[in-house]
Amino acid sequence: MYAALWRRLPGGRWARTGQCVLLAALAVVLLYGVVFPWLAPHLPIDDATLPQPSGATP
Amino acid sequence: MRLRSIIGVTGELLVTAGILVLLFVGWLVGWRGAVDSRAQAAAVADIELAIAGPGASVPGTGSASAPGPGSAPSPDIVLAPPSGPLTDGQVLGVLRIPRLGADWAKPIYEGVGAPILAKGIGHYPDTARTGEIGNLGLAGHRAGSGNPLLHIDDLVPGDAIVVETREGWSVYRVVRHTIVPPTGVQVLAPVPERPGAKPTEAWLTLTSCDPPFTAKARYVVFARLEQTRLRAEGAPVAALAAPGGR
Repeated sequence: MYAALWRRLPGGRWARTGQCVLLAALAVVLLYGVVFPWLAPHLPIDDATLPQPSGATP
Repeated sequence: MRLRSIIGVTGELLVTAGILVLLFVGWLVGWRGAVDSRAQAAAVADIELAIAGPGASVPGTGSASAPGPGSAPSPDIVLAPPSGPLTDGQVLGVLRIPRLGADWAKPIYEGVGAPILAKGIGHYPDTARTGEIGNLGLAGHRAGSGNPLLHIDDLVPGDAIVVETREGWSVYRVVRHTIVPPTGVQVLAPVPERPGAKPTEAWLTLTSCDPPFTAKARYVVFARLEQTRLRAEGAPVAALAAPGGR
């Protein structure tokens, strides 16, 4: 998978390394800026509350 | 050869998935935590300004959260009335837990919905008000939304939990903790864990999740009211001092 990507990138070793770093940085920016903020409310993580005594569930 | 490449690709996918999970935790606790923490510190400064008036300084808050001279409270700070019905989002005051840090201070809002807990600590509707006989029920996130209660499990019996309102300060002392399933509403009863019993003391119940990053169970801390001080009497300086030099 990653080997195939490496073979497909143009240029020499250092040019390819640079492109890989750029791609990884782009992936992190996309994840932090778009994917994770969308994902977080959909995950069953960190529910800090209990059903309220009145019976209403938050 | 074919089998080998399948195994190779599977391995790469698994490593990628692992890296994604680590990145997500880093985002939730580090990035989101820092962004939300800063917003909550700003809210605390605004609330201080709204309840204490300009120029007031409270020991234990540090200079970072002290309102600057001449600044006005933010318009989205709506203070709760001292008594009577509350509506979601009204500001009840500021929570301070010196064990979690000398400058650990979080805004307390009415309601425990997701949008409110994203802004700080939530007050369970229909539980007691600050300092009242009964049980003051508060909730806060452990991871995410500024990680307010990430270290709730550091609290030990005797630790101070200080609630500041417009009227003054209520100092609660931690008595014990428990871990209950997500249905464990009895911890919020007027006498904690004794539903139906008639309350004679003022308690505070603080709920968060356990283990961190899950919705499996709730970490619950019980504290009993030690003293209430009116604004004119000054801040409870000793209770606000951080224990153990943390």
